[in-house]
Amino acid sequence: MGLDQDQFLYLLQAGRLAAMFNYLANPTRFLKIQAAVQPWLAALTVAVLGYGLYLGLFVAPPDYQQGETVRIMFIHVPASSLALGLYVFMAFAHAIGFIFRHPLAEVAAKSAAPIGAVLTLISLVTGSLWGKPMWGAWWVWDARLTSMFVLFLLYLGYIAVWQAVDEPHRAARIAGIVALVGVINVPIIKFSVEWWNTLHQPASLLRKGGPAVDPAILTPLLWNMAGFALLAATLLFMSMRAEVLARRVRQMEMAQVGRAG
Amino acid sequence: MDFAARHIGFVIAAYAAAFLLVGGLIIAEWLRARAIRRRLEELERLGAPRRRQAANPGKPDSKKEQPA
Repeated sequence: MGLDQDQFLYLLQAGRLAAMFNYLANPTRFLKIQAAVQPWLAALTVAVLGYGLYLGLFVAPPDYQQGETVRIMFIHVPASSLALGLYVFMAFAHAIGFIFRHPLAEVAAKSAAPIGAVLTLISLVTGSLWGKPMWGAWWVWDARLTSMFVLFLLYLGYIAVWQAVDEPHRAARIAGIVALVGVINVPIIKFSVEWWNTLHQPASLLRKGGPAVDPAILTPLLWNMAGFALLAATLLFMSMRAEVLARRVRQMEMAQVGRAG
Repeated sequence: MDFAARHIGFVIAAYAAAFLLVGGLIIAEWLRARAIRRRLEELERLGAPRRRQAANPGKPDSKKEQPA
């Protein structure tokens, strides 16, 4: 069975991607790349997020119905979307870890969890602070809010597994199952506003017919989404470095115990 | 932003909460990284080997291929 040119090029690209993955999977190489990239990433985060917050707080006009409370959107929406995105990232990293046994995949997944948990909490808290003046309630058990709360519990459960199991590879296997099973909740959160009758508004960005948000609001929102994504990447890199070094410490401690014995 | 607007307290509280939570996460990560770095430096000063095999040079490494 022969390959046509398109199939051959596709396989070539896939091979290159796999080779790049392998190249980056080396922890020592990762530490070098991280040390070089981290300061630039942090500076870019401060610049983009700072500009986004400036646009959101001082340039975007108040909403004709919601007034100034619409500004909560500039942190609520980026935090919520990234909370979902990081959970998908965690599940993907565990899938890569299960299939290819990449040493950095588990490290990446474990490091993403506290960031995702904090972003989910920001989403819940800012949503509650937005809900009170708009809906007249801090909290309602509607499908969107409840499924987002379940996401927060999944993050906590995932972190608890890593804390509870001492042996890292065993912890990774159990945590990976939590991540892969829990990812079912992500489409439930996304489509909850369509599948059920909710107090939460339907999707206004990723929907058929394009965003339903005015450009005066959409532009600051996109800047803040980019800023939050950069912030998550910066924190993820920081956390991954700490985790790689923590594993090195564990190895050295065990080696020392072995030497003493 | 109009600081005299209705419900402005909710907006300020939302931003304050987000800053506190992100700030807390950054501080926690930084403290954790510092503690790990210090422990690593301490182990290197004590001359701890990087791997278990290095601690027992006489023992064969089970992961390495053994001669037939």
